Amino acid sequence: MRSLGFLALLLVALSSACTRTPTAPTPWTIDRLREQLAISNLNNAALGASGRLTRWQVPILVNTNGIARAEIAVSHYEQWTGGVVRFTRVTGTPANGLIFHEGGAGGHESDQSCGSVFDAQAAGSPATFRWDQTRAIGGAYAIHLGTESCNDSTAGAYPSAVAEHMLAHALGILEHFDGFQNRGGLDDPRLLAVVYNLYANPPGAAANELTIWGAR
Amino acid sequence: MRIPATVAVLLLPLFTVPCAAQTEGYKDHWGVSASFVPRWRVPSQLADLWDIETDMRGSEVRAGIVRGRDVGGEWGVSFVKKTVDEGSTVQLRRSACVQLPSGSPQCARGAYDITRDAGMTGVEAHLFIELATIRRVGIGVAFAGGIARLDGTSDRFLEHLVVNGSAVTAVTESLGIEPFKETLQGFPESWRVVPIGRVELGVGVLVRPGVKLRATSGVNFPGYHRIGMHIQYLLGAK
Repeated sequence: MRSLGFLALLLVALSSACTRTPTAPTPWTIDRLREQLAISNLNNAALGASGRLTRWQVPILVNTNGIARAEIAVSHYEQWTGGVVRFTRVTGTPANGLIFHEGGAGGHESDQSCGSVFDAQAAGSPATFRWDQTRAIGGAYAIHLGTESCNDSTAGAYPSAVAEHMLAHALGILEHFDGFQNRGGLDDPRLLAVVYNLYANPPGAAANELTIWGAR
Repeated sequence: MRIPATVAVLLLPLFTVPCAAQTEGYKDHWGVSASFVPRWRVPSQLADLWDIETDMRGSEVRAGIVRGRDVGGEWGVSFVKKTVDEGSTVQLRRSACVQLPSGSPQCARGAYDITRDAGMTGVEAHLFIELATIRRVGIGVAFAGGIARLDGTSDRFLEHLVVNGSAVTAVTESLGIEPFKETLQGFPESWRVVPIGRVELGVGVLVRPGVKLRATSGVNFPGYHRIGMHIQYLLGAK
């Protein structure tokens, strides 16, 4: 009888364990977006923690080196932000801008994201961001996609996801957050909102000067 | 090779016959079996573990050979065919939303797959332990494990937001056809086959000597099922 009691308990547990009504996701509020901008950019140590918005002046010079998923990633930023983020395609390594490379990612980020951002002039050195007194980012940075053990085109949910992830870092979003983890791309509304609002506000803007979902 | 004590205890009833029970119903026979699960689903707990959202569901058939007895359990090996319903959705991440200046939320699902001709084909071994017998009715637990190949394809889509003038809208793009293997990203990419397994409760009835019909319910990785049917015919049982 003890066995039967155990069986009855197990049956009840099995029948109830697997039924759960999914709940709608909680949207990120305007305040949450503002807070994430501060964490990922304004107050981030890698950008001097100045309390000021630090980003590239647009259009940003970029060399995609003919890598299709890099081209797509750049296009997604332009199209999905409604042109708030814009690029000028160049050849060679721009003095101030970005260049994509096939393979060669390294460092901690490459394990998680299958890509990395390096200083373009010092091969293999993690990117050290530079900016001028207007808080506009300058310098040349190399985005490496994939490693010998990680194919970035299949590692993400879609081929350009990793390229979009690394591009977000290079654009000035230094800190990961829910919506910007591992190999996640710009398809996450939270990352798109942070990117959009980073570039819809002027370089040098303080936290209390940020307009969320402002310029369009 | 050492066999863990618990496994030995579980297997013991199948390979030993009590001296006092040398009647026909307690003799082991070879036989054939067939099983049908009309509906299985991926449980929300597994979806959480894999960090996906899915309504994936399907049916399953199994056919195999068994060795067992009329009074007691059995073990066997089966060919397994799990079918995934056409149009099952698997989101590769959870939906996410942001609040717009109007106060209303705008959400996007990211990449998601819609299955077509998807399924799993494999083999599994099972062990059914009969814990109690009341006249012709036996109650017990089944354990099974095996491997399966992921078959078929999925259509992949990408839903994302686009800021367009004063509006933020969700847009869906088609990314083409992917092997179904790419849909279940909870399994390592390098795996050619994936594990399958069951832990089920079963209530069976001895319809006539050699023929058992059993209703089952339980975990059926990568899903679960509320009801399944198993029938077996033991050759030579009288």
